[in-house]
Amino acid sequence: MDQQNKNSNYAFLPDDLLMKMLDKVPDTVGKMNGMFDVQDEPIKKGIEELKNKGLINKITSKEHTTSLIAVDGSNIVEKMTGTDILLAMGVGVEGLTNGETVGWEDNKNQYYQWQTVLPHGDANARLIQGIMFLMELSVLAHASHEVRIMDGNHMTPILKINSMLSAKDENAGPEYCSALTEFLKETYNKIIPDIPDIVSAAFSNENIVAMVKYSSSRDILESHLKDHKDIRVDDKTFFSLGLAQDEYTKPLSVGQSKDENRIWGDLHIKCNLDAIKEKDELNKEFKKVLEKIKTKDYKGRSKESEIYFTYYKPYDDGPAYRIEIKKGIANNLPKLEKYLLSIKNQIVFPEIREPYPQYLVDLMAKSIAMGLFSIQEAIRLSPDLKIDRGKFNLLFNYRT
Amino acid sequence: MSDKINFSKEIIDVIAKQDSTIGITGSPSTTLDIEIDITEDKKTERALGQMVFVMLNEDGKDVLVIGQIISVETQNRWHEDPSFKGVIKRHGKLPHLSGTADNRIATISVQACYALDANEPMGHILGTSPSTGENVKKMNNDVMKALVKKHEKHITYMGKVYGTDVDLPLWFKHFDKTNNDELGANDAYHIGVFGKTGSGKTVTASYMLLGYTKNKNNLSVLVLDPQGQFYNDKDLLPPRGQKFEDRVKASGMNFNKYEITKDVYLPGDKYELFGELLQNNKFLEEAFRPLYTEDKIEAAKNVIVDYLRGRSNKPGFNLGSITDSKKLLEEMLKRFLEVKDDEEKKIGFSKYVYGIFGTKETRTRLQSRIKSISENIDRQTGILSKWNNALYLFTQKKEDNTNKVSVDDIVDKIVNNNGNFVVLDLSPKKGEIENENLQALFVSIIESKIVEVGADLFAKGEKANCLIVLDEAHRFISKESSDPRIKEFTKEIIGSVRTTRKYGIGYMFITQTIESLDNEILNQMRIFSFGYGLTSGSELRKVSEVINNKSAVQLYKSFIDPSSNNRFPFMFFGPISPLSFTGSPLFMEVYGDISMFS
Repeated sequence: MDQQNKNSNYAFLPDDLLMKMLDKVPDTVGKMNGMFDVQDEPIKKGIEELKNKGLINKITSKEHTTSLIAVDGSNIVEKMTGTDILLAMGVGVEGLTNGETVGWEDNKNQYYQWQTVLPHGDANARLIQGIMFLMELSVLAHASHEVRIMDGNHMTPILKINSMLSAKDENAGPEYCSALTEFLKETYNKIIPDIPDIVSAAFSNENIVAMVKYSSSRDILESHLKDHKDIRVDDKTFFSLGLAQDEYTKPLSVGQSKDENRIWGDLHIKCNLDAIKEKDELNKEFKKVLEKIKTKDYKGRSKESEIYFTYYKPYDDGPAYRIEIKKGIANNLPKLEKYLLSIKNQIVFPEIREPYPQYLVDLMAKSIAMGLFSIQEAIRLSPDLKIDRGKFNLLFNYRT
Repeated sequence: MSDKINFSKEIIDVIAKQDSTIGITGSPSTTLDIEIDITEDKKTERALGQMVFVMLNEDGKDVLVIGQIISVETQNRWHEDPSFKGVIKRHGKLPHLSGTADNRIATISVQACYALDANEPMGHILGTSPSTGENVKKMNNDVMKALVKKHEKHITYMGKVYGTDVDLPLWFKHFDKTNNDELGANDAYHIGVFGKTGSGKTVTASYMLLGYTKNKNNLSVLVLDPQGQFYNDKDLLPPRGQKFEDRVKASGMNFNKYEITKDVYLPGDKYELFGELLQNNKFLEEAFRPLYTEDKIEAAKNVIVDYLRGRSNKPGFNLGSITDSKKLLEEMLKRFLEVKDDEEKKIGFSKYVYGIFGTKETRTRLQSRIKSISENIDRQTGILSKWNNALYLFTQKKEDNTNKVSVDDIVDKIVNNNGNFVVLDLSPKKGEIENENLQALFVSIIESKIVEVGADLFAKGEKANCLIVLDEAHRFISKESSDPRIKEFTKEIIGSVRTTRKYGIGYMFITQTIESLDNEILNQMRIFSFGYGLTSGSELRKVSEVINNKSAVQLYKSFIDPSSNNRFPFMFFGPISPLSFTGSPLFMEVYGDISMFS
């Protein structure tokens, strides 16, 4: 209360609060300095060692393609007083081209969207998130473009689809499962047992690469530079500081370090929803689909995942990017370099830090908020809406 | 029989057949300005200037709203984003977003609304702003014709809606009540036609005047023509060779044209005017030379005017009654030399010589000069010619001994009679009228007479119902002029425009610049016609003050110089069209061929 106006027992909000925050800025800057206090020497040594191990390459290829897209999605659960509106979308956009574009053929959707209304339920968010990832995977799998950027990493869709199908602990009941069935039918004319196919189509497609915007992984540092204890930053920061322009790390299978290997080894999708009669069959199918990307076989023995990753630094002044690729690309360096160069050509640094289509698609996906607002208004204004005057309040959000 | 025709239903039927949707009503919109979102398939079509219509429902009635697109804006959120600007800077256009994601938003200035619930479309003022999502369609001649069918014979077509093929209906009502099936405004309008040289203002004014000739039973028109363009009927109507006179006669009006120096005699008691003429044609300078200063010339003029006024005390003497002009000159010069009464004897000179110069030497010199002229009068051809020319303007007979008309006759034709179209040529003639000062003087004489007769009629409960056209008005209306005669006339005109509307006298000012007209005159104007070229800062400000509509002024500013494409765009403002009752300006391109005029 020391900053509070002395003539009043009540703070001038938010001004007083803001003043307090500003007062703390020097402390925050000090802490930040500590984190940025990365010595050049350890980084140099680390990079040197990786080079000696043959783990760092430089792009020599000139070949690239503009047949490139990025895909993203978004979802919302709008908690209204009487019900929840669920809304999800998955969308893809093309990158910068030299005039010619590939486009989307008639039978290959550039986007999917789906919406429904469910009674209040904690599991609703898990349902719509899982649906969003199914949409993203479908857009990625069905496009015709040579390079297709998935937003994030390969692991997240698996986690979210698993979460969707294992929401028993949050009382996901028949209505929840009916909504999922309805989504699959409306969107793809598919049924629940087809979900593994949707996942498989994307995870086995070499054209699909994953680019994560934020990563705290220390997979390489923990596995190949174990002795460099003085490097305390994450892999992405390390390579951002250490790599030169156009250098990239030799593609390695995910799960190089002990911790990450365990995580990739434990990956699973296990349906526990009683309302889904085919859940056992479904789980068997998921096991098969995930077998290739896990770091353990069905007997628990260690093995390589078919998902690889590389760190690539396209510009001297810019960051390094973690890019996940399929085994086929990892083992085909000319093709890998073509992909990397194609991604480089989509980066308009410094205005946009991620590849242009990834930035653009993010904006497109975020427009879902506007979509939800429109849906709500249209519902409230619909002449077909049958609701008693006294219950009209149920159409509004539970909070202002 | 016409009351049995359901005009409204015909309009609705015609509209139902139109599939020319250009956009959808958007937001925000008001009752005067409607935003429209232009549809994808029409995004590359010309929108600016288009006349459009939209059917709305208000109080259960079908309401037809007509307007003109006065601005169009392209919006593309991606091109406005600073991050994307970086992309554009380096890579050029944004694939799938540049062009594709454009939105075009147009603004319609509402011109007119009609309620279509009765047999006849009734003028309507929108009581609420339009809903979004209504189809806005391009106007075409089918809809326009259906809309004005009831008033078909009162409509004048003199151009197309700016940038379109739609004929714009205008009406030119006379200034009294509707009578003899001729529409009356029951109010006299003052009109301004503005535009730089080459903007088409003379053609536009001519078309407008032809529109007014449709009122032959109620209205007369007088054109005061300082350049002789109407008198010579030169390039008034396109294409070249078309005669304005023929068109006026075809309307049924009587067409008369007079050259003021040859066909009209001025009132014989206007001695001051005679003095001005002598001053103007350099008679004074030549006869009484040397006169070094303007003061002396003015003094010489005054003594002649004094002399003639003195003569006019004798009944029967006036400038119109002179049969021997040389004799009058001789008598005058003789009197200038005579020393008659005690006063003159005392000063040693006639009061006239005394009135011009201040010293004995200069007076003596003048006396000698006058004496020399008097003694050799027949050899003074230059002086005699100037004297005769000035006096000729007051004589009632022409050189061929036929009668001239009087100013009173002309005024009578215009004010007391209908169906007369008179052109009065005031153009400069060497030795007779050489400057605006004199033109202003002539106009002043005629104008004051018209006002005088108009006031008499008004006192009797009648209206003059006439239109006075002042071509090249900037020549003799200017408050800033250094010429006192023009300043005085400007004052007179300002007084007239204030008072003559109630007499049923309207003025049409045709001028190159709006700045030249006094604010008082502009404030009294009801109909404005702005052609290309009023784009200098101060002129545009005046136009903006009149129109009070930013988008409309922007559209006006976008007019292209007619010399580059031979198209003559105009912005009309005021009650000139059945489509202009909301007070929004109308944009038009006047026909390039009189054969299209109807």
